[in-house]
Amino acid sequence: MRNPDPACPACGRLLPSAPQFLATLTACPNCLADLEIAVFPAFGRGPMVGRTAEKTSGDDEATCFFHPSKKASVPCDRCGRFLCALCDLPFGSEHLCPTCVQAAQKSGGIEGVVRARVRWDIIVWWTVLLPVLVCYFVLPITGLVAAGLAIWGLRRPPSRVARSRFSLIAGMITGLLFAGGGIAAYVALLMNK
Amino acid sequence: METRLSKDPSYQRLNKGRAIMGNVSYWLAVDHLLLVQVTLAQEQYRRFELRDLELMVVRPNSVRRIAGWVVGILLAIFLGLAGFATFRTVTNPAADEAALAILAAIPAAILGIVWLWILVPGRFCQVRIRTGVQTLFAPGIVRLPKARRFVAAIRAAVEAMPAPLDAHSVAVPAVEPGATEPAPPAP
Repeated sequence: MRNPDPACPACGRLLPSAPQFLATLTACPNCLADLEIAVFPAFGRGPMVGRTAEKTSGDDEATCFFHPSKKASVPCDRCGRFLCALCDLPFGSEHLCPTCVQAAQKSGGIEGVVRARVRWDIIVWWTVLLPVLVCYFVLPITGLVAAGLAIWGLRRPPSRVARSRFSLIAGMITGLLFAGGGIAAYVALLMNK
Repeated sequence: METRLSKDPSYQRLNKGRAIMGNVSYWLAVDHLLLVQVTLAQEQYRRFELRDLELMVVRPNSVRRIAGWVVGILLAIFLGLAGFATFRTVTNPAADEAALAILAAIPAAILGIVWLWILVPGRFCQVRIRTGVQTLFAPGIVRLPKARRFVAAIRAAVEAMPAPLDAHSVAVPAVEPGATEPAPPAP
């Protein structure tokens, strides 16, 4: 659905939609609220029109897996099904079918369609540091749990932007140190008794 | 298993801000802007293709002025109280109001830091990003100078993008019907 004309964020009334006027606007003409507007080339261009699939002209032509009456233009790079121009979803250099894109959304197989990821490094660091503040006598257990979580996290997809793997390894080493230190402290206590 | 330890080198961080139970950051790639919201231990992504960006509206607001006045008045009260108690202790040792002076000076110091935090980094603002299909309030960009730098970086990235190739932008030399090929140059 097309986004309606731009509105003032302060009063909600519509702003002039001419790009050259919007770019020079320093305040809302209605409520006089200060505004700074950056206009990009896409403004006023309207929604981009997608390609249309061609109909097949005969039996000797490959057809789309999803639309048997449409001409195939490209195979899916994951499953190999023939796709018409309508079903061809380009992701970087890959051409994928809707089924593979849907599957990738669940498994996180395509960078462009990943919506969320668990930051295992944050969980590991909380597991390492929280007992230090709250109940340090469980450090041997939580240190080992943190190391286990770090190993699990290293097998999962990393953060797209943060240095989560470095943080995971650092958390794992800290967890092991804490666990070792805690076990040594318990052993020393038992020996003294 | 991927063994890369460093972050993705194709992303350049534009801005980072606080959010409820986490943080927000904006990362610029060659062809898109990535909004990353970390809430507790989950990282959520929103991707804006640069070619789809239509507008960025920065609206400076008066939060800084109002908050500056409120905190400034409180700061003046506590500073006055601390100064008065110190003056009384110095001029009349029998009064011994050093404890009151310290009690007033501690909140005054905290309020002083807050006051500087409100005033120094610039005006507060809200940023909205508009694409062809949605208008989104951009979280985490709350100061005007940062917002201006953010918009300038996006503008530069959009301008640096190559123009899309379409039927209208590719100039095809027209050939007159019946026109002959030009003769090759003589050796």
